[in-house]
Amino acid sequence: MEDKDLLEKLRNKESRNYGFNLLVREYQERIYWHIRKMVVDHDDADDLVQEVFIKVWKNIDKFREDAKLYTWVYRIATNECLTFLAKKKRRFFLPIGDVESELAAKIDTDNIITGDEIQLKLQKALLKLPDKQRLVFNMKYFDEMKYTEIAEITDTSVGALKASYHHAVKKIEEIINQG
Amino acid sequence: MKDKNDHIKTNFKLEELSNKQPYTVPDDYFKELPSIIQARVVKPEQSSTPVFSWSTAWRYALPVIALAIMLGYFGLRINSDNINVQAMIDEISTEDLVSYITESEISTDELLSLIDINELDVDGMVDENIELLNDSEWDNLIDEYPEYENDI
Repeated sequence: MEDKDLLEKLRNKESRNYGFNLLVREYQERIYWHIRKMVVDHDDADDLVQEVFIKVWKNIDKFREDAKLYTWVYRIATNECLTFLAKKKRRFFLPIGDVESELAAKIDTDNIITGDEIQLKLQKALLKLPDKQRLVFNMKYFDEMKYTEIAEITDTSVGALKASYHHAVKKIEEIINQG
Repeated sequence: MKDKNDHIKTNFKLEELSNKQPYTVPDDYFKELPSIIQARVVKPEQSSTPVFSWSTAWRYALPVIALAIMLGYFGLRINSDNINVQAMIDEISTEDLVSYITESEISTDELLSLIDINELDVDGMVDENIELLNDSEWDNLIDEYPEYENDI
């Protein structure tokens, strides 16, 4: 469904619930995976996805149509993720390394990875990247988004994103080859 | 036999790897999620709509009822007081009223200031009072106002 039609339903009081349901169904998987790859744990991802859509519901009137709807939703999800991870690091005064260890341990123990050993190594290597670089990597590599779209979501220039992504790929390959 | 993970140890290239989503997700999670979210956003709105309850109704109705009773009571008293005052005045004879006004030291000017002349039928009142005069009163009146003798 086109953004225009969806927005029309969302802004009409009588069709708002229906429009919102359509929006959730349309974007839930993409938003969930975007968040899940960042926070690793399903329950955390579940909480955050719900929060994202509640924010979408509350702020839909503020959405300006100079951006695509899904870009706007992605931006909310990205902010939620980064805020969540920042809070996690502040809580209990954990250094960054300890949060990475906590998430890596979760990957090891909870049997949550669908792929083989190489996929496991990749996910653990990703945790060694700074949050924002990991975010960019995920959007480019897993979600196959264009640099221009990522630039809109992260408010970063395309040049900086390309540099960040290539640096991330190199770093990941090094980590895995060393491991 | 070659280990399938041998390439990891030698020369791993990211492009050789599938980019499918790596994590597991509970069965039917995406089927149930929309209704969970919908329930969360719709619930606060429903709770904000007023639900009828007798305790709330009484809380708002009691002051109104009390006020209505007070207004009714005092309104009736004021009305009954008006009726009583009017009835009492009606019972007083004109002579008693005139003597009361004479004794009360109220000047003619003060009395006139309380009366709206425009609302009075002055001519009617003059005719009515002239008819009440007896002969001696007529004589006294003519003596007092000789200039009007020819008008009467």
